[in-house]
Amino acid sequence: MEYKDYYQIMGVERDATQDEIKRAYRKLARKYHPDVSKEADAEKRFKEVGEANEVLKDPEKRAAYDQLGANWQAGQDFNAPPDWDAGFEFGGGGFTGGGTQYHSFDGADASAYSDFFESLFGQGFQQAGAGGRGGPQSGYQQQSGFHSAGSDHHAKILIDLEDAMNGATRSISLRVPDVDAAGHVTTKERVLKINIPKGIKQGQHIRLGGQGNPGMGQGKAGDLYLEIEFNPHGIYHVDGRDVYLDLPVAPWEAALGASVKVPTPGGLVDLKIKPGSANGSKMRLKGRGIPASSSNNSAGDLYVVLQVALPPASTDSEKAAYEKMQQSFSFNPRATLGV
Amino acid sequence: MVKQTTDILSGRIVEDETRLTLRQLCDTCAVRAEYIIELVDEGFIEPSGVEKSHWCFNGVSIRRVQKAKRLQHDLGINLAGVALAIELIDEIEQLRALLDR
Repeated sequence: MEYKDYYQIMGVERDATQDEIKRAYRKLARKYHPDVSKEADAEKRFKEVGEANEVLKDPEKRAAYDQLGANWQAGQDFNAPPDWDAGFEFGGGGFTGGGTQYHSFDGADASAYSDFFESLFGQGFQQAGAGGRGGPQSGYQQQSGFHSAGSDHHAKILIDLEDAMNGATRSISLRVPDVDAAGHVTTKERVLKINIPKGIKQGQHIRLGGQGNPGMGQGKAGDLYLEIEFNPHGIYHVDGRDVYLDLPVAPWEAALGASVKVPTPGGLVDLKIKPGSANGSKMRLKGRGIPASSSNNSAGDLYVVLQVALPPASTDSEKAAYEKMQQSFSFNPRATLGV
Repeated sequence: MVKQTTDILSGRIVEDETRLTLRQLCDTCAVRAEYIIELVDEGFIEPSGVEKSHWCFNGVSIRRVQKAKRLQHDLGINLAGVALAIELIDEIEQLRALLDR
């Protein structure tokens, strides 16, 4: 397994005071909290920082970790030396309540810690639990008489605009912690097939009751929340249930009016362009956006935004046409600039 | 790793939920009623109905309560701070969406 440099993760020196560690943790937790940060690896970073804090904030664990020596490099292949923790005892308050730093977000607490952490502190922690010194937080052992509801699980799912138009089925795979009778935690892959409801919007969530993390004892399982994100689309831009399309038109189509074929998420339509349409003018096709998802909301609209495209003048006859225009118009495009 | 396949699951769109009672909101978010009442007093979530027993929440409240709970827990901010943070985050998200256009 890989050695983790908790000091590097926290951005502090090895001789940092407990106060400095606390401050560094607070800053990083705010920066990488998955509800706050937009960075792609925010959740991973948040967990790393939480794990580093779990060790460094606790003087006993920090001393044990320091004992490994300062010569390790992050990512270096690591095996815990035999009896490395002789003389240290991770019981009592040491780990109790541990994991709560990111407990509330991920729910998959056990798997949230790295193998490196588990090899150093996992064992002692589990023994402490078995000895009854740790509180109910202290583990994944099937303690008799202890029941606790499973936590909710959160995941993101990428869909296409077309999926929201028509509804779709998606397979997702989730890594969930699984606890055997002896209290060992393993990671299990769960594949779920999910119906994407027609009419769902970007940023909305699908809740699947009871599909979150399993409860302990007779506690009921948590829920699974899937956040919907749209893949960027080649021609449409989506805002809520409204869909926007930039439609290129020729200058004469905008000036004289025309009937043109326009793609919409629901298929091709014929669109009438009014004579004298300006560049950037918007036409609304009511109800041709994303359909309603329930009786409490209504279908979005499709907005067609006219983009007048300038034809290049390459041939002699094209150039002549532009010259003809020049003669026919008394047009000053810079009138608003006062020149 | 063990693979496990199940039938096709259908969920509900959280934001489309309407008419949740105080009790249902508490159950869904695994919080106590006092916590919800504090959030309502903060003006952070807005039920319809005057009497607590007639309060009705919508699905957006579920997301807000869960977010508030996580931020409060993970970052150690008080309710007023959480409300401010989330409102600012929402605003940034709206601005980002405008930029993408």
